[in-house]
Amino acid sequence: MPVTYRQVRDWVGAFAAAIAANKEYLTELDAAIGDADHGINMNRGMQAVLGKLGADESEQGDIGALLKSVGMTLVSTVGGAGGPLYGTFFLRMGASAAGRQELSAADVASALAAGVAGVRGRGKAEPGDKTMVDALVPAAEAVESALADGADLGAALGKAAAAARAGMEATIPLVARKGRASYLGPRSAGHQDPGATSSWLLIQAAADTLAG
Amino acid sequence: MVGIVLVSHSAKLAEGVAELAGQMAGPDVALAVAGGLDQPGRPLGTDAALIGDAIDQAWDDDGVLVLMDLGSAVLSAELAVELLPDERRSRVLLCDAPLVEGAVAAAVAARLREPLDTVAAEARGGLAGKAAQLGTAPAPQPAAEATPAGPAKPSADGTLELRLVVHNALGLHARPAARFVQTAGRFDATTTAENLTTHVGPASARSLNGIATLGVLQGHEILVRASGREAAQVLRALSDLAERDFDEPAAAETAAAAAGAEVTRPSGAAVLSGIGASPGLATGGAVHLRAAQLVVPREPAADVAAELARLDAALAAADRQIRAARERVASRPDRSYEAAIFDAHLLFLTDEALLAPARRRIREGANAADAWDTAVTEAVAAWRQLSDPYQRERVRDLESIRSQVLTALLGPPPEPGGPREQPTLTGIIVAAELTPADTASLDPAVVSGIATAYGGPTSHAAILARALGIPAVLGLGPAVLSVPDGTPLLLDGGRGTLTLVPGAADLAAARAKAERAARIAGSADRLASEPAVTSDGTRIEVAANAGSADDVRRAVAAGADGIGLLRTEFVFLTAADMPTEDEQAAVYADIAEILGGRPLIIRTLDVGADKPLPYLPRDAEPNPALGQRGIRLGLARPDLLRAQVRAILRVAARHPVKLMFPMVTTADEVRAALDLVADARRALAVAGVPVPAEGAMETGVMIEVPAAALCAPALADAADFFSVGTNDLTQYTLAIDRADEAVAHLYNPLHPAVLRLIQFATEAALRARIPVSVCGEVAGDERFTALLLGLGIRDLSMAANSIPRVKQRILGIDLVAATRRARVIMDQSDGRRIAQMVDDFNAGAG
Repeated sequence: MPVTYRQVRDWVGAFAAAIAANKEYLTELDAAIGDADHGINMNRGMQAVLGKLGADESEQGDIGALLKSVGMTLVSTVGGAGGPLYGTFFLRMGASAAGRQELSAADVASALAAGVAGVRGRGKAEPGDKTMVDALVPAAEAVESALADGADLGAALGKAAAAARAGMEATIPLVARKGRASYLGPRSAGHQDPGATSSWLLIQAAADTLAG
Repeated sequence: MVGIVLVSHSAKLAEGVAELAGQMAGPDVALAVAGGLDQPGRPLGTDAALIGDAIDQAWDDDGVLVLMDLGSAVLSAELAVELLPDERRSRVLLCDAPLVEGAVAAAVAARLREPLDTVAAEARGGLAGKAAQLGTAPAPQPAAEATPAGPAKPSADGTLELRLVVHNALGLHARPAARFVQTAGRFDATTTAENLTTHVGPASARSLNGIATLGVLQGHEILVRASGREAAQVLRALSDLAERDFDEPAAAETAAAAAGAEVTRPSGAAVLSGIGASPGLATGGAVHLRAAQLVVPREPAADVAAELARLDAALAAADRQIRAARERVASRPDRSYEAAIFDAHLLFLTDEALLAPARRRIREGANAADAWDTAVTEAVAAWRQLSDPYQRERVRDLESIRSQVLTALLGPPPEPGGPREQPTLTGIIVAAELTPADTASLDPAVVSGIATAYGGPTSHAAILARALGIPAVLGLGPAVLSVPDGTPLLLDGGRGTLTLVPGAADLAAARAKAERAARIAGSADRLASEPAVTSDGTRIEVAANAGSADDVRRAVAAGADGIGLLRTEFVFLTAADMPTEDEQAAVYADIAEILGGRPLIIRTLDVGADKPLPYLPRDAEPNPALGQRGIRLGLARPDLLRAQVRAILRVAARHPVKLMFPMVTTADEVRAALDLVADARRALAVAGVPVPAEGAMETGVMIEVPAAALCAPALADAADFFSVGTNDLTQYTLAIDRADEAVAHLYNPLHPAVLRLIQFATEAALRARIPVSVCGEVAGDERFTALLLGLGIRDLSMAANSIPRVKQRILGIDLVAATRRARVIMDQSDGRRIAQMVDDFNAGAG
C-alpha cells in the first residue's frame, strides 16, 4: 500500500510532537557537549512547521511540495546547525518526491537516501564523527536492505528505527569530530549526541506513521 | 564592485561588524547582514533564507563575498548558495576569513574595485596585522602543520633540509623569488629548492628561472636542501627571509581587473574600458610607441671567442641600462621597493639558466644574438607553461631583458634607458604593452598617461606607472592600437576607462572631478597651514618630527611649518648594506623637495647597540642606553658620520637644511663633530661639489642628557641651536626606562627636575641668542604648550597629527600670563602639584 500525503503530514506532526516531548532531554544532552540549544532550536523549528502547515487536513496533495515547505521553514527557524541540516534533509527528500501524490516503498527508500546524503554533504560528517549521521546512515541502509530482502515498508521502517537507535547509542563513547562538540575533544566522549538523538526520533516517527 | 555579506548567529554582532567594515567600505560598497533569526527578539541562530536575502541585497555582477561566524553559519550559508539561481551561484564566494578582520579587509579591497578572488585573499590575510602586533606567527597553513618551518634538519646523506611555507599573496613571484636567489647566492653552499605542494623541482636556489618555474603560490610548502661549507648559514638566512615574507610589503600590488570591452555611450564618444592600473585623470593626444623591429640574424659565426665577448659586452650594456632605469624610479621618494623590480632583471643577466645555454650555442657556432634569443625563447616557453597568471606575467620581464640585450647586440647605441627609440613623447602613450624599461624611461613631466592593449594590474609596468605617478589603463584590448596618432583622449586611471575623442561634456565632467579633488585638498591645506600666533601676536613655529618621507608628506599635509627633527635611522635600519653618501643625499634631497622650502633639521644617526645594523658589527653592550650611541658612535666611526654629513651638506647647498647631533654630553664632542663637518665641507668644495658657505649651515645639538642641559652655557658657545629631547631627558634624569613596566608609571616629564633642566637649557640658549626648540612628546601635548611657551620656548616639533590641536591651543595663549604662571610653577617641588597647576592654568584664562 503506497504512502499517502496524509501519512507524510502525520509523520511531520509526529516528529514535531516527539521533539516537543523531548525538548528538555535534547537540551540536556546538548548542554553536556554543545551549546544547550538543540531541543529549544528544534522545537522552535518544528512548531513553526506546524504553524505553517496549520490545519492542513488534506488527504491528498503534492508530497514533494510538503517536504520542501518543511525544509524551508526549518532553514529559517531552527537557528543552529540543525536548521540547515534538517532543512537540507527535507528539501532533498522533497526534491526526490517532487510532484508525487503518493510514494511506493521504494520511493520512500530513495527519498530517505537522498535526504541522508544531503545531510552528509551539508555537514561533511561521516559515520563515527558523533553526529546525526550516526543515526541516519544506518537507518537509510536498513530500509534499503530490508526492502531488498522482501520486507514490507512497515517492517523496513521498524528495522530502520532500531538501527537509528543503535547508531544513536553508539555515539556515547565517541569523540566528536564535527560541530560545537568537537571543541571539547576527548571530553565529548561519554555523552550521547543530541543530533543523533533527534534523528532517531525522526526515524521512529516515520516507523510509527508511514507504515500504517 | 564586489558586495559583502556578513553572517552571524547574533544580529547585534553582524550589525556591529557591518558598522566597522562600513567605515572602511565607504558609501559605494554594498554591505548586507544576515544576523540572528527573523523572529521576535532576534534569537541567536542562522537562517539560510535571510542569508539569501542579504546576498540579493549586496548583489553585484562582480560577485559577492560572504563572511560567516561559526558552525551553523557556514552550513546555512552553503545552503543559501545552493538555493541561489544557477547564474548567480558561481559568483558568490564563501570565505573562510575571520569575521571581523576579514570584513574590514574585504571592505577595503572591495572599495578599491578588486576582483572577488582578491577581495577574498585580502580578507583571509586580515589577521596579519594583529599577528604582527602581537608578535605571533600567522596561523599555520595546513601544509605547515605536518612539518613546520623550523630549524634545519640533516637528511641521511648529510645535506641539510629546511621546509618553508610561502605566505606571500602572489607566491614566489619575481621579486620575492629574486630575494630568495640573492640570499641563496651569498653563501658557499649548493642549494636547491623543491615545491612540495606541486611536486615540481628541485631547482637550483641560485637561479631565478629555476625558483620562478617552481610555480610557488601562496600556501605552498617548499623544501630547501643545502650542502657545502655554509649550508647551515644559507638555510638560516632563507628561513629568516621567509619569516619576513621575502621582504614584500604586506599589501602587495593588486589592482582591479576588468575585461577589455568597448562601450558606446549616448554622447557618441567611444569609451574603451580596461584595467585601471595607476589612478589619475589624463588628457592628451594619442602617441603610439611602436617597438623597434629587431631582426635576429641566424647566420653562424666563426669566431667563438669574439661572439662570447660580444655577448658579455651586451650583457654589461643591458646591466648599465637597467641600473639607470632603476635609479630613475628609486630616486622618487619611497620607491625603493618598486625599484627592486629591476633587481630581478639584473639577476636574469647573470642567471646561468640563460647564460649557459646561450654560451653553449655560441660554442656550437651560433652568433651571439641568435644564441641569446634562442636561450631566452626556451626560458619563455618554460614560463608560459605555468598555470599561475602572476607567474606568466613575469614573461614580460624576461622579454624586456631579451630585447635590451638584443638591442645592445644588434642596434645602434641605445638611448639611455630603453631598447626603443625614445623621442620626447608628450601626450598619452599608446602601445600593445610596455616593458618595465619602457615605462621607467617615460618622463612623467610630459607623458600624461599610458594606455595599453595588453598587460595586467600586477605587471611590472603597472607597478612602475604607479610609482612614477603616471595615470595608466592597461588591457584595453587590441582596439586601442587602431586609434590614430593624435586622437584626443581622456584617460581615467581610477575607473580604468579611455574615452576616444571626448566631447565637451566628458572633458567638463573630468575637469570638475579634478577640481573637486583639488578644492577638497586645498581647503584642508588652508585650515592646517594657518600660522600659529599667540593671542598677543607672537608667532610660534610648529614643526613636525619625522622618520620617513611618508612622515614628511603627512607633516606637510597637517600644516607643519617645517621638520624640527628628521630621524635618519630609517635610512640605515632598512638597508642591507651601509647606505652610501649618494644614496643618503638622494633620500634627504627628496625630503627637502617634499618640504618645498620649509626648514628641515636633520639629526645624524642615533642607534645604540640595541639596534644592530647588519653591515656594522658591534659588540653587545650591557646597557645600550648608556653605551655607544648618537654622537659617540659617530665620533668613534668617523667614516659613518662623514658620509652622512657629506650627504647632508650636499643637500644643504640647495635647501634650508640644518644639522643636529644627538646624545651630546660635552662641548668637546660638539667641537670634534664641528671639525668633522668643516673638513667634510672643505673636501666637497675642493672636489667642486656645491656646498653651503662656511658656517652657513646651522649646526645644533640635542639636549637629551642631564649633563648637556647642565652644561648648556658651554654647549651654546659651540652650537647654533638647541633642541630639547624631553623623552630621553626625562628617562635619563629620572633613571627610568619607559619600556620597563615596573617603573614606567614613574615616568613624568613634569617632574620638577626635568622642568628645571629644560628651563636651565632654555635660558642658556636665550642668553646666547640661539634658537631653542622642544621636540619630545611634551611638545605635541597641548596641555604643556602654555608651560613651554612660558619657559621661553618659541619652537615646537611634534608628531604631525598633534599639529592641529597644538596650533589651536597656541591661539588661546597670552605669553605674559604664561610666563608669569611658569615662574610660579617652577617654584614647586612636587610633580603632582605641578600637574594640577598646569591643568588649572589650561582651564583658566590661558
